[in-house]
Amino acid sequence: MTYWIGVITVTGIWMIAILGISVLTGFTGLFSMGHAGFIAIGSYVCALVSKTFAAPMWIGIPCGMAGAILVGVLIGIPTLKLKGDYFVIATLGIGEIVKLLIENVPQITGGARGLTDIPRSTTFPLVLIICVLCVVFVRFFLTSKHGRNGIAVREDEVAARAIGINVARQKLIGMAISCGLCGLSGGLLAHYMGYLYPTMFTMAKSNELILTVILGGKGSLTGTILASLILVPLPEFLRTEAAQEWRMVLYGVLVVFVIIFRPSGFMGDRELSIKGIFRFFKNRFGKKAEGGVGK
Amino acid sequence: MFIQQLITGLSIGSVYALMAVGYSLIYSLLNFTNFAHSVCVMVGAYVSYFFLLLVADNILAAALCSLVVAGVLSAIIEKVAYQPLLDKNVNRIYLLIAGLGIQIVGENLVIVLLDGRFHAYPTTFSSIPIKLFGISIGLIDLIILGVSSLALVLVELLIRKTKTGLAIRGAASDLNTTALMGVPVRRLITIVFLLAGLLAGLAGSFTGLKYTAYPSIGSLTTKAFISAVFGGLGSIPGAVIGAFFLGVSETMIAAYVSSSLRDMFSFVLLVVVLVIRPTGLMGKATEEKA
Amino acid sequence: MSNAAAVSIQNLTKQFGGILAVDHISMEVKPGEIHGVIGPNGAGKTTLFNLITGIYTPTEGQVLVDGERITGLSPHTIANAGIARTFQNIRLFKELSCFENVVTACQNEVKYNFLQGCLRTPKYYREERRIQKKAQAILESIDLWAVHDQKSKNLPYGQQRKLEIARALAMDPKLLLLDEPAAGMNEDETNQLAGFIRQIRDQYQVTIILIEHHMDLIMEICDAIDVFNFGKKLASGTAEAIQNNPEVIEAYLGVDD
Repeated sequence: MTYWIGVITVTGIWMIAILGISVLTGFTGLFSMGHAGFIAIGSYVCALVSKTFAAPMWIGIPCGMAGAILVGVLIGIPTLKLKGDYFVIATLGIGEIVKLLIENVPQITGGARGLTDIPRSTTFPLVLIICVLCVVFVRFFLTSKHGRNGIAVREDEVAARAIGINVARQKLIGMAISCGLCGLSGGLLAHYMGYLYPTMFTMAKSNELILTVILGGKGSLTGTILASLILVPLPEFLRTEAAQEWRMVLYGVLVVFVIIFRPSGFMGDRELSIKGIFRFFKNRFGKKAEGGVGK
Repeated sequence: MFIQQLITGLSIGSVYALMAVGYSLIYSLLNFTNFAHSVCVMVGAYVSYFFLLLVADNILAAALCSLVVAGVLSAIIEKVAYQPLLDKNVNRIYLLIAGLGIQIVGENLVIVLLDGRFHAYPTTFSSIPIKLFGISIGLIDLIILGVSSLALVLVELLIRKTKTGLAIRGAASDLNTTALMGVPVRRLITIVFLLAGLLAGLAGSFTGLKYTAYPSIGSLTTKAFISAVFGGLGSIPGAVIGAFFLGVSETMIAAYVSSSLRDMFSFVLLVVVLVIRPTGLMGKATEEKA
Repeated sequence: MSNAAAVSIQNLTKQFGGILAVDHISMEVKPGEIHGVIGPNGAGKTTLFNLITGIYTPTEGQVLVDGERITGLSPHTIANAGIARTFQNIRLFKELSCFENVVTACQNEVKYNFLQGCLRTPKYYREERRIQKKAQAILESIDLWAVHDQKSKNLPYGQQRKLEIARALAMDPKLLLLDEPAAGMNEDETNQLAGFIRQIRDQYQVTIILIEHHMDLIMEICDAIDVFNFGKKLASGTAEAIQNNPEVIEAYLGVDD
């Protein structure tokens, strides 16, 4: 039982980061290859603050979030204005730099040996509450003017500009939110695991997170949540090593197939709602009309 | 000592250039980062390894074999994965994501089917040094540098002097107009992917020779992305200059400062370039067409 | 609520490499006018729109709207100043519904800030209700309410063009730039469009600059017309004057499409 609570807690922690990436990729149309780096910044800053000043985690975590947002915005300002893949490559660079930095300043970060003895103060109820708050926050953001502007930028930048949206600023907002949530996730992770290694935050991790968003459906919040709930704890079900390895192959194949045959992802941009499910059944059994999950 | 390092740096730079030119070619045509490029590099490395292991101890023949296989693979990837997306005229980011998916499949398939270990090329060749004016230089560095440079010159000639090259240059400046002028753009794109794959296969063979073959060897293509950004995304001369600069600087830093700072240097360089002059050395800001 | 604008374009020039896409153009548009811009393909008409809306920076010259210089401002600032446009190759937010397209375009008048939006203050609800009503009114006024919850990419071509105009109207524009609104429409739809454009001008009190190839449409609804050729202004005047101008006939009207 304790084991499964642990699995759910870890799933929740990663889901917060995935939600952040969803805001960036699914709802602003930007693709990042280095968000594991922002989780790393959040976790290390938080852990170091907590350890050095013996501060409680509600001080450490905001520090980690601030660090992640600061770095994200600083790299975003010059690159988000450019056309093309400059931003993708910049995030790839940041992700690698963060990892290399952690490895190369062992005096502070413990280097490749890792950072240990972080107070293990993240609990299951805490993660649950924060998860719910994050989902509500993202949902509220997306249905407000600023969220809609982000979606407009995703859909068509030229048209977004033509209706008066400051595209560069809108992208920075997406970046800041995603980095903040990744930082939060990192802080919780540090205080849950009790230790940190640079290899927890590789490019492969970044890829895994962003693929979860894409499989769930770019532009569907419920899709993202469902995908996180299924895909993040998947390794725990696949206990053999061979199955673990095939998992990533399967991820890759799924992504290619989804992109080619169903580019909008598993849920598309539809949202799952109680009302939608109700309507689905009513349509299915009532009129036999074409129904489905709707808004 | 310095000359020796310089040759090593240039040889690494030339391999980066092989990858960067392919990347830039595709980018200039279709405006997306082809992450599947790394799969071609990785396959190139393994094909050479198995050639040396099973067929003959001849590195040039092995490299040729890698080149062909990777080229064909690249064209197949383009046909199977990118073409349907291009047909639907989707946002370029989908192409990038599909490429990333292919990269992940390729890398993990090797782990599953083979293993995740490092495979040194079974050749006696790599350790032979030669003496030139009293300096001992690795023979492989000279061969890599020589063959890569030759390949780069051939590509340059192809682009500058042939009809196909002219069409590629046209398509790079405006794909739609080129299509309207009656150039079979579809075939042109396949040719460019084939060309990029050939170069990637050669690069894979050479990196395998230098660093052994392993599943994530393709991630060296990030160095090609850095070279291309440094030179200006989409600019082929820029990518070559960027690649040689990166190769030499990395080697010098590893030799005279610290080898653990080598990669750090590359990525910091990337971020500094992006912050200070994001369009790179040869890049120019383009105005968006509405 | 007369918010129609007067536009003054002075010596506007745009050079691409060695080509002068727009070559020292000057023109005046009176408030409340429907002003036509015609000319063969590549005459610099769309470039003119891109210069007015700030997508391109002019090499020379300036644009004044209601006496204020807008040249040099960023595209979103110009848009928020009340200059709306449609695109030659329709640029809707494809995955969004018609309603969402229009609601999104109301963003400049929504006054709550980021925090108020995420915390759902009463102001959020008040503002959202207001723009939703407004979007509904706009869609109703141009007969698109019946399809308001359909994805815009699934609409027939003619309705997509109309929706793009609706989205522009949501910005409360004083100047509306229409780039070939009749392109791809059949004769029936084109005829309806003429009445529709007039209706918009009268109902929304907006000045309209219109690029079109359909001569009948232009001649029917435009109060004044400018003729472009190779980036230069060839002639200007009323529909009648243009139709009788020998230079125009030679350059444009005389040539069959």
